[in-house]
Amino acid sequence: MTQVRRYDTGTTVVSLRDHRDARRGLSDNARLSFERRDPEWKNVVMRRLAELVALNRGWDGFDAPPVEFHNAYFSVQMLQSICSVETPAPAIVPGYYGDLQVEWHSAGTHIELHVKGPNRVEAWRSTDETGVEGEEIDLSTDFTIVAKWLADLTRAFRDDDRARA
Amino acid sequence: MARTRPENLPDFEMPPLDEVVLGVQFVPPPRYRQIYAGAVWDLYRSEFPLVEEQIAIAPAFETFGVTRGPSFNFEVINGPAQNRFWFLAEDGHELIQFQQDRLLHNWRRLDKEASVYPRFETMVTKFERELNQLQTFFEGLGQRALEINQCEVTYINHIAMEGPSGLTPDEAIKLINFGGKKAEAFDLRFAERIDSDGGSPIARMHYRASIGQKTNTGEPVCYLELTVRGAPEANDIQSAIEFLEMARRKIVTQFAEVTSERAHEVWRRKV
Repeated sequence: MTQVRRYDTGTTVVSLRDHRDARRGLSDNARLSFERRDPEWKNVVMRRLAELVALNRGWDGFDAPPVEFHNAYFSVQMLQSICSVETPAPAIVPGYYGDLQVEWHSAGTHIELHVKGPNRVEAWRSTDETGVEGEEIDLSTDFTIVAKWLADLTRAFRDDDRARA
Repeated sequence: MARTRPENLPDFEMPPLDEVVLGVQFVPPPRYRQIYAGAVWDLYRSEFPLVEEQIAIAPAFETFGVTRGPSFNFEVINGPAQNRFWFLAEDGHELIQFQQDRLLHNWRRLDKEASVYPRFETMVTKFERELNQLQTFFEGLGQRALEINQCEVTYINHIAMEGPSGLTPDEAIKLINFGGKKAEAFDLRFAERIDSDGGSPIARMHYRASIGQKTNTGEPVCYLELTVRGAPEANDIQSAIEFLEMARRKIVTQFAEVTSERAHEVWRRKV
């Protein structure tokens, strides 16, 4: 019989118990381990940010610059502080001044993080409870509250998926 | 007014200190081009007449939220690559590191006999002057004042493992316990949040310890590196200096806490 243990980091270790059939041809300590699973949002975000940093000046039809590299880099660090492995990938849109906005939208919840610069983020959320006006907070480096917002949103996404399955 | 060392800060007659780094990261001035690096060198050349080129350091931002695993970096090759420049003093003990978004000042022991640690107060006074010189230069190009978004202080210690005052890593560092084994190699890294008096995060302390060899003599040493990094309260030079002073207090205090009484005797603790 095999035992599968999944760690919070996404690493999966399969150990073979002392069972004759399972151990056939293998050592007593045989295990298979899988590499840490990268979050799905990571590749989506990296690709999108690379596009936005490489935009040509005037991408908006006027004189908007590309997203500033420090803003993109800070956004990656911010997302690492608020997203879990299961968080859905956000949409990212460029601003007109080298800034950018990171967004999640679901049926009942909208979260928008306006990265105006490193350490300067306007965070906004609307839910069924807050109504369309939503709640807005200015944040610098502590994104604990946004991590909670995202945990709620991720849970809702997961529940929707299960209901549809 | 000359800076004075805070009272009651742990102090040692012979600390195993090998290198100290003070640094800030700032928003790259929009009109800066790498060709201006020569003019930046001219600001410091009288004291730092030698130059070397290195690969640029990636940006670093400390952010807080959920506990996270290993970080991943974001890299985009878009346009000409920017280098990092080392402006070195003749004897190589002190150097300034400059790139389009960073300024750092290092002191390095290099040769035990010849180098005396100039002390943090002297280093931070010089660094403040260097920052002001850089800011004036950028303003002369029509740029805005430096917008500093991260600050860091690093203390690197080389703990001798051989000789009459040699200590094994588990003898010197209270965090380490090999359970009686004689470790040939190890690598310990962890980070700890630093909170304000109000309980909100303001910085992160990174601890790193490992066994290595001194490059000039080959003798085995235990590296113990402590770094405090975070955003200053405001993005100006004064706030950056205040952050560096806070970071230094934290590092020196934690160094004394994580090292053993026996090590303190070897290093002759005074305070």
